[in-house]
Amino acid sequence: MRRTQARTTIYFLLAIVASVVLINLSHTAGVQRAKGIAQAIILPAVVAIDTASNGVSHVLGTLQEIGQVRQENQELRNQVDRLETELARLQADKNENVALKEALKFQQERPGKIVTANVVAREPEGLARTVLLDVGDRNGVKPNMVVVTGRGLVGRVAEVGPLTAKVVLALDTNSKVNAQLPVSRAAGTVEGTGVGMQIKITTPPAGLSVGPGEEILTSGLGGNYPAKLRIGRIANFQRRDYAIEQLADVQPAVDFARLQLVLVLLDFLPLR
Amino acid sequence: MKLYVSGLLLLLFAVVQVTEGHHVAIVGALPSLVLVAVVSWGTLRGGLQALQWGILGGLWLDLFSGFPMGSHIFALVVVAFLVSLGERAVFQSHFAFPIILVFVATFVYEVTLLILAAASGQRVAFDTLFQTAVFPAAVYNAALFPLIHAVLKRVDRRFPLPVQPEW
Repeated sequence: MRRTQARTTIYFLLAIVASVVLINLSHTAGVQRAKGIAQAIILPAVVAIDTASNGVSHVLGTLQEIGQVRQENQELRNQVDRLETELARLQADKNENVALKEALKFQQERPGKIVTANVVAREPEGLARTVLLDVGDRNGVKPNMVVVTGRGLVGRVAEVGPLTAKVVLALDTNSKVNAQLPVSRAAGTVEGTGVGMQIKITTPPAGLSVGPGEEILTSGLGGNYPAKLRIGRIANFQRRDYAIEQLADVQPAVDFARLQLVLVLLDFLPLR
Repeated sequence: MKLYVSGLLLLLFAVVQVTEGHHVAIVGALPSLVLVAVVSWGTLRGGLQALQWGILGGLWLDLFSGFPMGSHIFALVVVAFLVSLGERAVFQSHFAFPIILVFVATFVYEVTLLILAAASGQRVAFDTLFQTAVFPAAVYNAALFPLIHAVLKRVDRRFPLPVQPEW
């Protein structure tokens, strides 16, 4: 009995040591390459489950609506079933159409090389704000490239595999974006809080007055993001008279909860 | 149970967690299917099996995560160790014990991940995440446990442990 316990403890210690070694090696090229290859191998399973679940959620939505209709009018059940199924499909098509239109509009406004990508997975526990895209090295995606939707800034590519790319969202606590407020002519840094975004205006112009709804754009300073990308709008600003920096909550331009189709800017190469 | 069967089952849990988790989020809490599975399997099969599942499940989660590779393995090995401290007979004596264990294990697991992220130089908003992610996830996972446990009990019966010869 005691020998079994000792053996179990040794196994646990070995596992702990091995995982610590792996964490220390996690940023090496070899581990990154192996991770990218593994992601590429399991990508079809991820896409298949994601696609299947979208179908299931449409069907569930439809069934729910049918239940309500059945109570109201039994004899129209079959007709409503057909119509609701069609509606769910059309709604999905409409959402996709809107995202594609926004993407097209973005490209017309900013001609340049882009690649469209689908979000196929998200951070397992939601402790960090990252997503996995179904494009990678083979599509020309490189680390630090900027990711957007037609509505605005999404984040930056952190890791790239042959067929996948991991993006750190602008919501993440490690995200910092130099920003400008064109109307009040203030400048600052937009930082992720994990659940939202905040702008720090470090050198506020005299008599700064920022109104709710004022648009926030990237400034391009530092060379990590192109200038004039939409980040969001001021949601809540309360001037602190004696503070060196002014803070405001930001309403993101992008709906991060429903992120599906994104664009990777291939021809903007960040400085770092 | 063969290692590859465990691996495939945990891959399924991991993929469902990363693709569907945000669809079923409740007040910001995401379900941690893999964590619950590791705890559940540990209460059914003991600490060494929990360790095996922790390593496999952690490996899959690390592929999808923004944390350094190995972080989820480390956190799940710690959880497996926690599970191994209890006797299987104790966990199976009352339905509430494993649920409490999952609740505690979620704290241990997510706080371990946050500490590893902070140690690797990432900025971590501990207080915000504790309120918005860790505590709600502990409640969510505890509520999810009976469902996952029922599924894994069937798996346990389908793949019984080989009977050891008595000398």
